Amino acid sequence: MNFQTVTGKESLKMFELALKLKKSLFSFRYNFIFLIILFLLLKITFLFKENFVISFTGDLILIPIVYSFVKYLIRLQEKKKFSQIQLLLGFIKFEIFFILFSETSLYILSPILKDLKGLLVKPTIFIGLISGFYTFVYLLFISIILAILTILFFTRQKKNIERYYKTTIFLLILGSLSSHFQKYFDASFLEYTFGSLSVVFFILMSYLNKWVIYLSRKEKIKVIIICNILLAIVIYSMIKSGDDTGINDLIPIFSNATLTAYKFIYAFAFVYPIILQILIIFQLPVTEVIEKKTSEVESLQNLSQMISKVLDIEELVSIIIQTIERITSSRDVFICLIDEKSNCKFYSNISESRNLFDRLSQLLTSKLNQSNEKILEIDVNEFYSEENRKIEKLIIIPLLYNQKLIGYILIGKDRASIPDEDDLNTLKSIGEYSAIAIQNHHLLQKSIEKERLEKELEVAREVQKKLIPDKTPSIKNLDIAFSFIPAFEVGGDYIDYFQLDEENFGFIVADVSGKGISAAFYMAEVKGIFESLSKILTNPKDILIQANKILCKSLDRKSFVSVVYATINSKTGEIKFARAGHCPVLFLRNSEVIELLPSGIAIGLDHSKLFENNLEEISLQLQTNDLLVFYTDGVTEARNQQLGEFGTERLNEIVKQSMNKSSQAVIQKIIEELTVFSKDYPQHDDITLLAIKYLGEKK
Amino acid sequence: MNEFNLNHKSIEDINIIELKGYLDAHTAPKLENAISNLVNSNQYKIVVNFSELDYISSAGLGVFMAFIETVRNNGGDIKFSAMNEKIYKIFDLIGFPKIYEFYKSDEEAIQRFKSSEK
Repeated sequence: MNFQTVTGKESLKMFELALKLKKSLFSFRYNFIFLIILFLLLKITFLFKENFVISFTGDLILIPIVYSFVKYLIRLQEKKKFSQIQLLLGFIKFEIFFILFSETSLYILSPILKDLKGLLVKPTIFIGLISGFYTFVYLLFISIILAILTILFFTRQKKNIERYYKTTIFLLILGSLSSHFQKYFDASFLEYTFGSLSVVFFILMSYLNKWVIYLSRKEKIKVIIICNILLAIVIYSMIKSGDDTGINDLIPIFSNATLTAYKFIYAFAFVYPIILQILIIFQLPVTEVIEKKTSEVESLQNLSQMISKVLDIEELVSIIIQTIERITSSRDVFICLIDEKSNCKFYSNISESRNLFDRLSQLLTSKLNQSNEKILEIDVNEFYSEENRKIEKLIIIPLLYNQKLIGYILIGKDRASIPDEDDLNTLKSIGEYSAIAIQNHHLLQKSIEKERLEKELEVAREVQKKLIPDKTPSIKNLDIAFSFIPAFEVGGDYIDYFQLDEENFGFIVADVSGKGISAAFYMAEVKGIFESLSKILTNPKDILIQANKILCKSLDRKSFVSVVYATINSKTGEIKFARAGHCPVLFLRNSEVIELLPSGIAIGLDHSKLFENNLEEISLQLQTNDLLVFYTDGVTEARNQQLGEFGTERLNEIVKQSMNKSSQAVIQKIIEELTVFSKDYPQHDDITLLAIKYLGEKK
Repeated sequence: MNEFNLNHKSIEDINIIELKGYLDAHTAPKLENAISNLVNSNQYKIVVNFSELDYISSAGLGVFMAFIETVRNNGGDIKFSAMNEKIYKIFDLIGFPKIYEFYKSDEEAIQRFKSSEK
């Protein structure tokens, strides 16, 4: 049992090892080295034996060596991603390097090569070694050129050229190997047949080269120049190798097929630049059109991407103008946007005087009354010329969003660059894109603004809520009720009461002008001022005068506060109050309503003595069941669907009918009536009501 | 719904602004712009015609307060004319008649401007 398990484990280990070995054996690097060693062993063992089998086998081994090296180079390109032009330049570099290398070698080896013919008949080991070295150099060169060509063929290739490629390579190999049959019969015809067939397929493949199409005009011209240099080098090198003595003659000692393959590759190197040039020359005229279209599409794509990113209108318009400038290659692009007041606002990237914008504006109004949906071309011969460029035509593209005109794009053109049908179509789509971009921007801006306002109003409502007392005071002898209904947009109403001493109480009803956050903050200030003043001063008039002095300093010039401030002695029923620009106080006694309206201007209206001089204070001795109603204009100015106002008469009438009601009931009644009156019409201002009923001194 | 419009005309050096519709917190900036444009171009004699105004809120009143000091310091004035009873009541309640001049018609207001020049 024990023994068996051990062997089991061991055999498993052996198996794993074998697997690893197999894997590494088949991996590129090991294969490559293994093949080279195999080849060298073969050559050394059977050195210079004129044996067909041996030399043929040797050359057969070379095929996978070259194959794996080419594959390695292609993988290298996948990592480095050289551009096609870089590859062509690489081609030239290797070619030059190779020529220089051959020349130098030739120079160094000249003493040996003097008697080459003799050496070839009876080669020495030394010559064999040299031949081996050069064979590998040639193979390296073949691999590199083959790799570059392969990469170029498959770049941006849409068609399946695999079959052409494989046939070319297959014919190349056949041609190369056929040199071995030279001894048995005149095999050169085989060599030439396969070779020329290979070149034919190579030419076919070259014609299917796709990458040239995608080059810009500039790049294409570059490629033509490179091709000609390459061609010159190849021709030079071909002439050179035509000489009798050369390294070329050394190669067959080691590998017969390498030299043949090398010759074919040279044929490729000669054919390829020629075909490339033909392709480019045929395409050159359409290149400009393709380039223009491509840049148009790209620009529009960019524009549509920018639409969602840019928040600033100036920036957005500037991007649109730049896009149009790029597409139309015009330097005079203007955008006019029509605002709510149907004024035109102009934007342009050129520095210019206001004068031009005014003239453009006049032009627009005079020319564009009839139709505003089509692109218009207007002759503006004498209208506008800038330095050395003349604007002879003005193209006007309306910006339409949901059939609504939101602006125009104006493009200045000279006579030479007047747009054709195709350009107009592009301009139309630019117009559409731009209109969407601008309108989106407006909508976004609006929603941001709305959100900001809503947040702000939320804060304002919160502030207002905290400033206003949350419960009605219960004071001896007095029946007090109040109601405060804030509008959605904080209206600035303020109501409060202060206990001044055991018997005396202060009441304030006020309305800060304006709405929202600013009204809320003024309210807070008003509260602070009255709270502290009521502790120092007793007379309503004095308190209002002081409050005006303080508030005039902090209120902005547009704002004012209307206030009624009253003090009541709960024991005696004596009431004093003053009014600063506020609604009257309603006084109900024996079913008679009187509007108490002492003179007084609102706080914040006047900084001087005018306020003080106009302020009147009223004193009243209340009788049992006397009722006072304080209110803000939110009550009387409440509207209904017909846009009528609730008005003072309605209010006075309700109060008049309230002789035997409690304060709470009176306020409830008023609010009920208000609700009925307004129905579904939204409340636009805060509504504040305060009712104070004197119940008389209880004994 | 709550439309507001204003119309500006000038008689000699006196500017008349005619108001129409609802002047509230949302429409007040329009009036503010109009008066601000006049003040910026050194036009300080202003008559505001209220004959077609239906409603004015505190924000609307604030517009006049914003400019009155500058206008008066430059020898001009903002005078009100042709106000209906309802609107006048609002002005009156707040105390505007103590500070501003009200006239039955533009002509009266213009006359007043002219006579004060002499």
